[in-house]
Amino acid sequence: MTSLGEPNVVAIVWFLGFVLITLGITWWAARRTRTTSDFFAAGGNVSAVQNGFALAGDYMSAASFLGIAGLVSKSGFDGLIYSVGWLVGWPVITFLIAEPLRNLGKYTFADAVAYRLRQRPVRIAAAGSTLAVVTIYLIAQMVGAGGLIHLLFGLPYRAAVAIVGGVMLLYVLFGGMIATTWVQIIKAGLLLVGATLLALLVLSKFGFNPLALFAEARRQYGDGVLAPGDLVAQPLEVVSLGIALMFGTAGLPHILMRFYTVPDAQTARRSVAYATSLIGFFYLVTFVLGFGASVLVGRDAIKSVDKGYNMAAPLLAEVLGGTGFLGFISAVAFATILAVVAGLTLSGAAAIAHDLWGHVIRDGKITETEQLVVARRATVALALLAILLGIVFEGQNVAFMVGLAFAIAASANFPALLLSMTWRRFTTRGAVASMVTGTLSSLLLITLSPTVWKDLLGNPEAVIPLKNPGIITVPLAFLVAIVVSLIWPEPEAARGFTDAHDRMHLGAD
Amino acid sequence: MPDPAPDATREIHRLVGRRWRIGGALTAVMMIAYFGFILLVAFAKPTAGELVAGGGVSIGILVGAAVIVLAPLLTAIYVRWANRHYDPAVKALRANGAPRP
Repeated sequence: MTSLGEPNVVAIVWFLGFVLITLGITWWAARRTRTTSDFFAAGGNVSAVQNGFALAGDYMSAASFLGIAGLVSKSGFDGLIYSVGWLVGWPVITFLIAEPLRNLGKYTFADAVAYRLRQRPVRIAAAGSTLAVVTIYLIAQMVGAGGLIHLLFGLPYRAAVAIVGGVMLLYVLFGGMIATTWVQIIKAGLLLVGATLLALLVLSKFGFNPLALFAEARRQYGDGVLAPGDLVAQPLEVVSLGIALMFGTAGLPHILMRFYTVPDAQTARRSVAYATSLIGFFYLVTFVLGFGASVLVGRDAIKSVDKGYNMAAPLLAEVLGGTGFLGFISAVAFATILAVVAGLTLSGAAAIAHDLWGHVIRDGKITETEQLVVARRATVALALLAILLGIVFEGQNVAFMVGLAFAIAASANFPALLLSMTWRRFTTRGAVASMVTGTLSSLLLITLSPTVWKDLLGNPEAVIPLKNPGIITVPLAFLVAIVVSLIWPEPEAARGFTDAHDRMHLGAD
Repeated sequence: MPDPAPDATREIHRLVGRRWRIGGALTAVMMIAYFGFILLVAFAKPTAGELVAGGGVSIGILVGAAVIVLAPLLTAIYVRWANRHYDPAVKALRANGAPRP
């Protein structure tokens, strides 16, 4: 028997504690948020360790905590494929993206892409793909939040969605990036501590030997638990998903935006190194949690609470640490969703206020005051949109949306960003064509995929057999960028490359 | 503004070229490791599922865990190189009158 889903005093106390502390920080941050640089980039004063935790906080969503632990508990090995895929994009960010991005830009990744290209078209295309990624990611988070909080606390779905949207709005609206950064840091700390404690409790049952844990899983569920299973029925499918995960990480707007919160390229570089270690450690821990749940809670018990196996980690906490620990882990899961949603909203607001309003409508001539007003209005609009979408998509299976967000980020943002930094002959038309192609082809192919065309729309056969389109859309976006740039050269952009080149490598001052 | 030292521009290109080569090589290592893992899982299922270490663990899990450990390791190698060699070189270049954007 589990007390999951019933009001849990410990969970409520921990959660209220988290909200009160973070709102206190928001109040403190609000008094320090005077300029757009404060609002979008925390004034550029975040340290490497702080940003490392904040990056990890932005990235470790409830999907990776509850979702991967659940997937591992359900099918064993297969969960590892996601864990590895979600991590390997981080070194790529370090090696190729972080430093030039920090030196070229101010608030959004479009700053770097548009640096030597024509501002307006590039900004419009980049804001379009950013808002597509943010909106789709928000749907996945909000629907997940409503469902999880309902399961964890017994709170009605819509109330949960409204609470997440409302608290997140307070963080971003008043505290901007300063508050959002601290929310991420605290959440990342709590999540890492909670997950590690839980994993240690699991391992303590097996003499702190993971092999004994795996052996017990094998005894209960057979050899298959340690081998690739259903997820890899289609080899091409796994490769395609892998491409989207690897390069999508390097194209997520809310992650890229964090590199502007540190003072210089060197700090940016060090902060990704911290983030990569924290996230890698976290994924190893979730793997132990998944196996622990399947062995100590049992698959049937997990499935009886939630068919999606998302409650594996909380149930494990209850079995090993009682209702109190269940409450703590539940509160951490809630905090996790809140923090991720805040980061997403802030990056959407930056695309609207900085790229669209500041550069497209006002042509770069905009006062601080006006930009802050627009940013705050955009924040309110995005928060309302998030709540609305959460309610509209209630009960839908939105698991594919995280994959879609990664596919768009990998195909629309990553190729344009990389080429703008490395290829002298890259042009405005090439960038715009690549970003538009990346966004639209991802949306189109996902619509025609088995997940949407067959399962969601009820057609007998999918038009495209791939669940994730990365293997088609990423190369396509690169190809379009290169072909269009070669057909219509832009001498001015090529001339600007030398300046951009020196700036991105030698620093901005 | 006086012209930058005669060799500065060439020096910048050499330095930056080196950074891209190292970054590119490390990216390639990461990609080979990752897609190697994926291809092993996708096309060599029996090998990936083969049990080792007294039946406690499979080759697939070991390789997957190794890729997870490799990611921060490669990052650390790059950060060490950049902190020790790239940053001082950039500093020296700028002190010698490299063009300031």
